[in-house]
Amino acid sequence: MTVHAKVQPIHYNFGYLDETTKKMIRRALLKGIAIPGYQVPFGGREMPMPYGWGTGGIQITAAIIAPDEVLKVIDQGADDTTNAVSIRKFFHQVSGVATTTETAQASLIQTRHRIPERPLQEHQILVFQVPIPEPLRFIEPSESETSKMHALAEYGVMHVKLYEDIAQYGKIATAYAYPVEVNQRYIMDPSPIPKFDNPKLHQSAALLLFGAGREKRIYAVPPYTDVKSLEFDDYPFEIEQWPDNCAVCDAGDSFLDEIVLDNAGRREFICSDSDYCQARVAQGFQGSANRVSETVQGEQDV
Amino acid sequence: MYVAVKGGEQAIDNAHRLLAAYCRGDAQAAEVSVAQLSQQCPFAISRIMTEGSLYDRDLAGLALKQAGGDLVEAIFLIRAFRTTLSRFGYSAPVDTRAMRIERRISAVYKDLPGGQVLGPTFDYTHRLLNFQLLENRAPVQTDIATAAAVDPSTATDSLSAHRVSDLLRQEGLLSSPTASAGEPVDLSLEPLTFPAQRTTRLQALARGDEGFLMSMAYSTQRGYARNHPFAGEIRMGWVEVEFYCAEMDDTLCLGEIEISECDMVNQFVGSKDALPQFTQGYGLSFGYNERKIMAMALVDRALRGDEFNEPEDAPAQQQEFVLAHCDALDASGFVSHLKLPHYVDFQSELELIRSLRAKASAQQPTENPSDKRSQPSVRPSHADALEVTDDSAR
Amino acid sequence: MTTQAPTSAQAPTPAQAPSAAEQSARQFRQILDAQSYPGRALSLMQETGPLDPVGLSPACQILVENLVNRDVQVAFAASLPSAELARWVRLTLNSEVVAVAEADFIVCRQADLAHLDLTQLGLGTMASPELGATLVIDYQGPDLTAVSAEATAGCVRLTGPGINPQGPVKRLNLTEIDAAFWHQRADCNGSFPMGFDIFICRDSELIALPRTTRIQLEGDAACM
Repeated sequence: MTVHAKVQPIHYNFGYLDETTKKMIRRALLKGIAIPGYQVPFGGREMPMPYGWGTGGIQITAAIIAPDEVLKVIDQGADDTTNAVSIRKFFHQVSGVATTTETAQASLIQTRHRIPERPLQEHQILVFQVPIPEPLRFIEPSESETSKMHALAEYGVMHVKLYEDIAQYGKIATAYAYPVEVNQRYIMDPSPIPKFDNPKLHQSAALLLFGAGREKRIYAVPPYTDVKSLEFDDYPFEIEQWPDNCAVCDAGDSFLDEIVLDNAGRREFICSDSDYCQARVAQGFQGSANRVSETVQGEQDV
Repeated sequence: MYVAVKGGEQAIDNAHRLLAAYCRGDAQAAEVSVAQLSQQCPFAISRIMTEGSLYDRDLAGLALKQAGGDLVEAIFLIRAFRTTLSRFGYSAPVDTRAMRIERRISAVYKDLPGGQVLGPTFDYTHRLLNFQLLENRAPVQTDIATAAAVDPSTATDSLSAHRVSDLLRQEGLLSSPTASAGEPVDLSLEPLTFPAQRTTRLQALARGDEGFLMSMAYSTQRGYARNHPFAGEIRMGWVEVEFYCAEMDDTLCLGEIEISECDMVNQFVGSKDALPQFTQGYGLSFGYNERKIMAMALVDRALRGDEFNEPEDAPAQQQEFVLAHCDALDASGFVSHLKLPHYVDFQSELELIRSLRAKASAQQPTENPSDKRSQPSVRPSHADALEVTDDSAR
Repeated sequence: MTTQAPTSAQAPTPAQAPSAAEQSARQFRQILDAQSYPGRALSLMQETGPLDPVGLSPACQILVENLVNRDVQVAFAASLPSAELARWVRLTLNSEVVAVAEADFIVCRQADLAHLDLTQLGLGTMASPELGATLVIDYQGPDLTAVSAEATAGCVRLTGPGINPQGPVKRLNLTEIDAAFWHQRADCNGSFPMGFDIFICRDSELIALPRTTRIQLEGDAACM
């Protein structure tokens, strides 16, 4: 007698999550918007991707994605990084929605570690993937303690940490996941976006949603909300700078990736936001790399 | 010049194909079937069901095959599958006193009602590689009483014997469990919050990674907290799962499952108000998962320190430390996520480090010329850039 | 690749009605937009046939159906048809009707507000402010956004998160709600982040007033 395994295949709901889970997440989102910057605990589920790989963002997107959505997914600012490709494919499979690489066309954008350069408009939604939602976590490991600090708005430990940085290094030594104060109340971790992107959080026309799947927290910054990067009067908040413009599109106002070209350490700086860069190129902007290669071409022709 | 590498989607598809081939191995070897895995890897199946938090041997076998033997991957598959299942309620608490015993031992009594039933165990095997297994096994003897494991439909009597914990409680020597406040929280639906009640902690421990809990338990035996544990009882066998159906106003038996249960009996405590008593640590799992239930029981007891006014300075006594880090999926997911691109944040760090170094070396009396390249000059501002690019655009 | 079209395998063709999940998704998107942009009217509609009549306006019924299930509890004010609603809550929503003090969602008409003891509403705690209740007002009255520059008496001005400070002044015509209610709301929500949140439903329209929205009565200097 052959022993066979008895397994029945199943059919997935629109957006993968079951309706009970979606309702739970939806309620959490509404409360999150009502309490800007506050981390709402939610009953996060295991998703088909590992914890730490964007399950919080994925659960938010799955709970709110609508049939007529136009979805953009980026990782490190680009649409073609492997995890962005994987997540975009997942949502296309479980919901059938249209997808895009163009920020201007997207109604819903899920992102890891960047905010698009192009300012977002009303009714667009940006969903951030968050690894560690607690801005005080690396100062105070205990969840019960940090919860009390948020309840009482007792953020002394954070100010002390920033002060100690200045005392030791002459500047605040935080480059990404730079803490912000939201709506004059909660201190929030904006996810590991470079501090370069922090100013985009302030008074955005779009809704900003943050999901931490492993830690099971959701938080939100409503549109048109004050978001202020922490600083001291004599040590104001500063963003990153580069020695050059984008080598492809000549942008001087975008976050640049450093590309190592050869073993001698020759480098080039290219826009991290691939859509922004491509759009500028399509408008006719040219970076130094394009111009250099044209010159070389010309010389060879001679 | 740099040209962005495209084709991420194609690369991923190819990676999936390579993985399938890697998990198939040499095509000359017969492909393993799910039924073979479900039947012949019972310990892997038990761990997958327990940490996957879903009792289904065939699905566990499927997950094990798909995962190429990676148990944490298989557990992940089962948990993700579990998420998609709809719930219709909770069973009645399982009565392990009525267990149809396959194995039952106690380290605290030489003999006791029901006896010491060894059952199928590695305990007294000699860990010598058995090269006979390169061929098929000799036919399994089915006349042994504990062959109930092979054919659960065979009716055998339960031991009709009290559990050791019941015997100790009869004499007042073992404390009764402290009643929990309100209904237990379902940890598969609600997030973990601190301080967590024992009913919540036990769920987290039951689903927790066996290796982590084993090491935490080991630490309690080596001086990181002191429990003086004894294995009061270990039971493994079949229990009925009952469900109250409101529409029929009747309790239905949904079937039997195989579980393992461990009662650890620990150091007796007492105070001026309370007589000394033994205290309990408890472990429970699906299937046959003895190492896990023993570890779980030791850690459960360590986490009960607040009930007995014990100083809590050992790692195994810190519930935030233990419970926040005991889930294999949380831990493996976050550790492995470091593989994902982090170059944007790294770029920020590069810029920060370079500017800090520039600041530091600018304060040095002699400047190292090689540091010049690390000093970023201010690039044109946004407004300047616009002017420049407007001129240079076609 | 710029834009990839929806696949025909999954997206409904125009002739096909949306599934319940797809309809809920569209409806919730409106609710989310309402909460994000307080004071703006968003429409809530049922595409898959008429709603079972339970005595609530369409927007109110759709809102409650979208947000309530067995994990939360709902209370109804006295003026609403209790037996019908209790059955709907139990059978359709799989939830239960409780007293106001225990409810996550409280549904009432604006006439009930005068008798509703707002101090009974759950406000959450400083550590868990999300536990604050949601008050759903099934509003009968003139169009909420019909505010003319001349006749602003009884209107409210809104400021706060979600409202563009550079945009036109956000006003709502909420003349059917007594000024006293806004003062009581200010008292309850005085210890932010604790507080309760409001949805106003009128016919097929929804407006959100989360606890962060500051309300100023026209002609009143104080902001609440």
